[in-house]
Amino acid sequence: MTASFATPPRARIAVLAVLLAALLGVVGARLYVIQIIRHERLGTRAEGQYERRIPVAAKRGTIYDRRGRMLVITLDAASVFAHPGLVQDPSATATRLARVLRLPVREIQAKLRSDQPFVWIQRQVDPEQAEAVSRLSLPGVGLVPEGKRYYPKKDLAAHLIGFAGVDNRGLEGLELAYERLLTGGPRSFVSRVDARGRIVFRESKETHPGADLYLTIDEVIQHVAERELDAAVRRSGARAGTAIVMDPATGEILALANSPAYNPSAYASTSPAFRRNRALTDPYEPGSAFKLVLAAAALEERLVRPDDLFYGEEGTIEVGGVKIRDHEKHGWMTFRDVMAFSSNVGAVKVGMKVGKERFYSYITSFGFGVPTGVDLPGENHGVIRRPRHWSHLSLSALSIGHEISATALQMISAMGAVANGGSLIRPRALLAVRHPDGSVEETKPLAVRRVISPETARTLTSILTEVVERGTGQGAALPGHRVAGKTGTAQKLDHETGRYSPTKVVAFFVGYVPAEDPRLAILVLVDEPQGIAWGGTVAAPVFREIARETLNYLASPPTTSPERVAGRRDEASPRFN
Amino acid sequence: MAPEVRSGSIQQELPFGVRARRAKRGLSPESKQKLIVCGVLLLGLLFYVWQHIQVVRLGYQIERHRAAQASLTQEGKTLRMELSRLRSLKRVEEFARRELGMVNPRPGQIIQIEEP
Repeated sequence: MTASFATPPRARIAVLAVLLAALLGVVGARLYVIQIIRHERLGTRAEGQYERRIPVAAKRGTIYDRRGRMLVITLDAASVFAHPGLVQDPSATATRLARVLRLPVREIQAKLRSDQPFVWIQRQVDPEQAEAVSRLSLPGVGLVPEGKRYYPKKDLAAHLIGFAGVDNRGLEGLELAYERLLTGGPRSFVSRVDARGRIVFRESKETHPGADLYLTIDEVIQHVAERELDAAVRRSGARAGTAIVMDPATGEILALANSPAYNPSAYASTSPAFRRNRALTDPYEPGSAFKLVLAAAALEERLVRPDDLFYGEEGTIEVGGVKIRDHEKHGWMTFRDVMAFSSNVGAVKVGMKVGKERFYSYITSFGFGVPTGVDLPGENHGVIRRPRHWSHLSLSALSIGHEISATALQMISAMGAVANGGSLIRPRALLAVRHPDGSVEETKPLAVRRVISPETARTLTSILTEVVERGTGQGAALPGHRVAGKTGTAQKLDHETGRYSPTKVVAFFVGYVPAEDPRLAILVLVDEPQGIAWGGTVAAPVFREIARETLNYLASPPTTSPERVAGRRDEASPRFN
Repeated sequence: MAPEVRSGSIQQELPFGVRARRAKRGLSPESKQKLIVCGVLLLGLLFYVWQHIQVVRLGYQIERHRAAQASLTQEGKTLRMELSRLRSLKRVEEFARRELGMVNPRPGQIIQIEEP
């Protein structure tokens, strides 16, 4: 004791100072190690503790019809996953999960015992099931938020809309075509969390939903088209059918129906053949409906006039050793009659007047042989050979709609061009896009080219109204409205024999209404109707029913008295052919 | 020999009690200044801590509201989806025909009225 008291204060202070300096040195060294040497590793570890990437459900855009009726929506739905390596008791875990998810225990057990580091137990479960799984708090089992696509109208416009898979990626139809617009922003965000893992505040940019789409289709018109087409396919025992309703002035597809249809919610259990959008994937020989293009070429080039006369050769004409027949014998007939009664002999004679090169240029000008450019995936371009590859029979065959294949969409686009006064308009299924910021971007009609003059279009309209008023298309006549259109019945090629089948046909009707100011272009195609079937008997009545209900719905007043109105006649003197 | 007395050393060697008594009598302006600086710093620190606590508290509050908003949005979407399903024309038409015995209007039964 005496020794310590004996130590002078300065010395004690010095000792203390040295000790403090040593301690400070140790702290400094430690600080250097932590802050400088181990900075990166520790920083990362710290970030991992207070920062977390939070997954969020994919917010795919909603799809509406042209009047804002919801067709497709995404709702939050969690998916159950497991890390098998972290599961403590696979048997007990599987039993408890199976009870909640209503799945076989064995199936879950197999997944939990797998060698995989990660397995999905069940994707997109109901909110109640997700809640129940969360309450179980099973080690190694977790939930991840996902979006589930719902199609509340079931099979309505299924071929047009398409569907998205479990990963919320568009697989077919508009869901695929507009994948980029529909998909939202990042599916996770970085957040600062507390010790219990609760979010304190978000650090990274918010996720944003995808854009909403407004389609050109109208739910009511689509429903009518589907209902009438289905009924016709059932009635005629046909293999399939297609109906398209389009606004000829803008190219907007108001309805696109294929029969048989399918439910996009259950796409996995549907055959791909049912899911195919036949309206644009399947090319057909258009048969007599193609006389429309022949007539347009002949009238535009002033090679024939509506009242020019053609001799029907009593129903048969021989071209290069092949006999082309009419289904009725005709004597002298006007060009109007050729079209109204769909005379093959008359058409062959008109085709010869038009000639190979000229006819080919009109065919391609009307958009055959190339895709229409519709905003839907999987479009077929159809087939039309160049004139240098034509045989001696080709010109005649093409005049009656053979040796060419075209999709239903190409056919209605061509008819739409006549209806709107001569402009080929690109068909489209998207009307507008509403972006996440609320701005709305509308699509615009696109005129591809002028194919015929307005005068030719008017003349052709008067001829096509006669098809309905007194010709093969009388089944399409609609009291109170003038209808213009063309029937077609094309034999199908039998792939086994390599010849045209005597029993398998495709029945068409394609036209527009009201003829004087067309609001609707409608195509009806019935594939392989049973029994004696013609475009005029199988497809034309479907056109009539769709047109009638649609015009009522659009409140389009009748333009004529219910009695049929005779077509106008060209007063010019006839020429004989 | 008497020890040499220096003013500086006298102050240093005063016992603690004496210094405290002197301090009671009044702080030097220098000490006051130091005290104010310390006070301001302490207040700043307190403000910083309070602010931080507020941020955390508001963060929790925002997240609670966000969760409530998300839940309500989801509920709204579910209801809209259900409405869309119930308004499905196929369903409505079937109901109208089967349950209510309705039929399509025949030609002539529809009268278009022009708006005045």
